[in-house]
Amino acid sequence: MSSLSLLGRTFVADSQLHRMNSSVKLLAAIALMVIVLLSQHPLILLFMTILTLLLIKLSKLPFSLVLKSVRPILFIIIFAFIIHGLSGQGETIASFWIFRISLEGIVTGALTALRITLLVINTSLFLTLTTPPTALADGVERLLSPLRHLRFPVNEFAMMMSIALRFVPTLLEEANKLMKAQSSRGASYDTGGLIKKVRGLVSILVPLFISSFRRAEDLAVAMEARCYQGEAGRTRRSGRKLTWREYSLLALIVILLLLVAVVQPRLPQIIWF
Amino acid sequence: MARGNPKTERDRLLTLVQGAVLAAIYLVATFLTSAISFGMVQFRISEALAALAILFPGAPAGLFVGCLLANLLNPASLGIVDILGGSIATGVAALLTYRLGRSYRRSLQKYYQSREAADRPAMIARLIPLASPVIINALVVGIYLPFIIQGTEPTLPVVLLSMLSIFISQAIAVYALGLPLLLALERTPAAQQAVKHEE
Repeated sequence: MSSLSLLGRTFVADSQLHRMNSSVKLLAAIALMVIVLLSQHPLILLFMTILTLLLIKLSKLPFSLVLKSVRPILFIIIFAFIIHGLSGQGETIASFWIFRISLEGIVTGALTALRITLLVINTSLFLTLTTPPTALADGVERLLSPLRHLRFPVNEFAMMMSIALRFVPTLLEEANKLMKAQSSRGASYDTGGLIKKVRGLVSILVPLFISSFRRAEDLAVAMEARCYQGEAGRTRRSGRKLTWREYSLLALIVILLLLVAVVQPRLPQIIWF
Repeated sequence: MARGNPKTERDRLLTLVQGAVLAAIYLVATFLTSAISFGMVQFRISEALAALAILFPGAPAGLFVGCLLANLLNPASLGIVDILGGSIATGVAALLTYRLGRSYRRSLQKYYQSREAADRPAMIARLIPLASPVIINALVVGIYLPFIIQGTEPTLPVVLLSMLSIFISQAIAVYALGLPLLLALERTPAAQQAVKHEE
């Protein structure tokens, strides 16, 4: 179950990045994704790399921890590199069978790999690593709140999100218990073919569903008893205002957007070969 | 359990909380199998839950939230298109499944009252609504994934291949895992509760 540590693996530290408003962070993460994807010029990518390193420093997270977030996507990065490397654009320097390796392909591949790496690091830096999941749900609610005018039940979605996040540890514990209980009755989860494994999964999922639906019913009764009526009359414990931190991040985002949209096309093309 | 029971506040809350529980299960199942849940060739076992949208009214919203959270908390996030696109595809597919499943729920309700095997919904009534998560995800996710992952414009065969791979993995998740789950859950009180208001 070690992969689950990925989930909401917020690293607690007291940094400017941690203290930032979650909806601004969410917005910044989305903007940074767009900016990184738009960065094509090597100089801009170099600048983004330095900026990302600075952000990591600012977040006070251990560098190795941040790098770990790349691991699940390592395959994709290598795949992208190989695809570009073998694409055969430009002058061929080596060839075998139907593949032609070119210098240009290798450079494009390396740049693409760098772009994906930056994308992943920036997102996990802003979202998973420095923002607790509940704060994230809060941020999503605030960002979606304009949709209220379209009669989109924003509050109920946010409530659903918070309850879902709250249920995750409970579910894990329950699943663990069920696995042990079924194993003691002779079920096995690691042996046999795919079909047998899927059957084993069903033998956990069904009782898991039944027990969690029972829990859901209890929770609904409890919410009704406490007069939960959705949005009406609900107040917030933390209604943090935006401070210089958020404004400076937003300013940085605007500058970066200008950089990739206005400055990038005017930069001289680098001729590699 | 008479037909047309008025919906109470509790039923409304139950729909909300059931949706949340489904979202949580989706999230946990996705992360337990995270090695194969994300990426170009993905096999999301959690998509089996899409089959339950035929039965539970809270499922479409819950699956949307679950998928949104899973993609958002994915440490190797693929960007806004994947976060929103994937969850909207899952949510819309689930909504369609729920809409298409009306006759199924009605006959299930009849079956709960009579308890006669002849009244059990026909298998085809389950199979057709369950096709929507397979088709919609293959169309939406299958098309945008190569664009995000490869960056530059992928060729047509790559896009078609990616659609096919999502189609196959969704079909396995929904029909091989989701359907047995649905059949098992039909025997539970939660299912009876869910079809109570169907008319």
